[in-house]
Amino acid sequence: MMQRELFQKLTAWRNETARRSRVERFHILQNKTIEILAETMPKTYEELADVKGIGKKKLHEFGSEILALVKECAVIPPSSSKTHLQGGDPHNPPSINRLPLEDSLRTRTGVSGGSDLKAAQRQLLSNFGEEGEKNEKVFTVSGFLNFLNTVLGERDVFIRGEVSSVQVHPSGIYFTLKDKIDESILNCYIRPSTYERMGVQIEEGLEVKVSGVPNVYKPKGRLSFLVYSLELAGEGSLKKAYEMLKKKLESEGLFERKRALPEFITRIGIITSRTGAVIDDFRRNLESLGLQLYFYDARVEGARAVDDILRGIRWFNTHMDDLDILVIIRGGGSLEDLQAFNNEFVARAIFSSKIITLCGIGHDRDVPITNLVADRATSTPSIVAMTINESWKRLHEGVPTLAQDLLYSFEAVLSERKNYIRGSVDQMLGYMSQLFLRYKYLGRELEQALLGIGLRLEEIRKRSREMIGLARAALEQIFKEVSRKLISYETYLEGVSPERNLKLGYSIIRNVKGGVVKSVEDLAVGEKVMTKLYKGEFVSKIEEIK
Amino acid sequence: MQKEKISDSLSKLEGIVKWFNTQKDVDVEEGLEKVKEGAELIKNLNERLKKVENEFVEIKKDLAFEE
Repeated sequence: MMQRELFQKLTAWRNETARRSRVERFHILQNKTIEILAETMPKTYEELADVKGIGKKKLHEFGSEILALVKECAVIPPSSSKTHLQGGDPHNPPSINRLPLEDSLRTRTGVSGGSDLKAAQRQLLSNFGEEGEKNEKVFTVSGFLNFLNTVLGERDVFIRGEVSSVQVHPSGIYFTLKDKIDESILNCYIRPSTYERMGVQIEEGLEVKVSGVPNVYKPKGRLSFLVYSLELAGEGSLKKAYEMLKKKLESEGLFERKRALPEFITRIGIITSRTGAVIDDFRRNLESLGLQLYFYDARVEGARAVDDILRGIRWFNTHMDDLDILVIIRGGGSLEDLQAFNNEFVARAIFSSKIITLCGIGHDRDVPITNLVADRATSTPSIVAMTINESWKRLHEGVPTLAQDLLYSFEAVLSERKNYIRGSVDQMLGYMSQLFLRYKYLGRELEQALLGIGLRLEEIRKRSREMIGLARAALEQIFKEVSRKLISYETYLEGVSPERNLKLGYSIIRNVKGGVVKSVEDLAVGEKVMTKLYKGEFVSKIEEIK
Repeated sequence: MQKEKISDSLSKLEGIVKWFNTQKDVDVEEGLEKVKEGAELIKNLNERLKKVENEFVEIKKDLAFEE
């Protein structure tokens, strides 16, 4: 069955060790390993070595501390552990490096704030030493050095000095820090993994500020300072390092690659400090466009700045590599204040970022290296916000313009059609007008023709009348002539008329056949004849021919 | 509206305006259809331009670095 208290203590110790070592927690111990340790409660190095997840390196590095915690849980009576649990949240232990030694001891030993300090010290001592004769605490050498390192390592300290005697070795970086006044020296050691994250090239003569803890190297019994972080200090060192790094990265072409910022930037990763006005200024200058802002709180100045920024870049690239851009911002400052942004590792991390980077680091004279490496850089965080706003320009300005253009274009088409129709109507009216004129002309022509015909007819009529007149005159003449002739004929006829002769006493004799008897030879005796007189007729019979 | 869609819509709108500018003889019926399509795009794009509060999320490092 898992020992709950041991699990909590191991977890708290793991978290604190990771924090102090500036590494992720699982690098110290994985949760599963802690569970196994809490279940099996190993009491010797051999038992500890059998635990899955505890290799040779971890055994050497953390073995004594893990065994001490196991022992501590085994010896602390339930009442004490209860007191400890009441003292704070085991998952979020108070920050030890900010506490005075006695508080650290209380925390470490599980003695509550109201307990006697001596009791806490006794408790701590009992974890590393054994009860000897006359109630004396007897340490083994290793146990004493563990005790010493534990006490010395409770608090991070900061030291400023000049680097000398640098030795780069696979096992770590060894150098001495020299006091500028009395030239006293301190041996320092940087783990390779820590040095790899620093992004600072250590050179003799550089003025630096280091943080870390004193530590006795057990195999040699020598005191050295275990460096957790290192920053350049002093204008000269910083300027020199800046120029060297700038030249180096420029020659590698890190300043040349510039990816274009996307349009309509929406999903934004932000790395900056929660404290200060920068993040508020940045947010205030962003337009309300429904942007999704993912904020990673990172120190932007001081010993932890480089590590925090690197973690932020790594986190976004690991967990949210579909972001539109990654924004890294901080306000202005001196070269010393901004040295995290002139750090080689930070610069390379920005260059390697899958997400397009936009840096807004305030500066006066020397442009921070991060600004030179980033895909886009501005001189202030506010301008970064404006640059993001600018990415929406095509939508802001384009839509009204395009809407207007579309309207004008269609209006132009309609206007053109209207003009065309109007032109067509005009044209038709023109044709009709022409047609009308033509008809009018033809009408006139017809009228003229008809008039001509009329005149002609009149002429014909006149002619006819003349002809008729002439004919009439001719006829009248003929009639007159005929009349005259008739009169003469009449006169003649009247002269030769039988009637006239009859009147004169002549008579006309006709045979029975009606024929006029002109000779007696035509007559026969006994034949009857008709004699016509002027007045009347009579029939007579021939009695004698002579 | 996703940004890809914004870009597509703007490109379509630009295409419609360009269509009007390049046609020598625009068919009014076809032009009217294009205007309708453009109006719909403008409506949707204007929707996206309306003021919407930005969302702010702080990354929880304890969760972020849990193995």
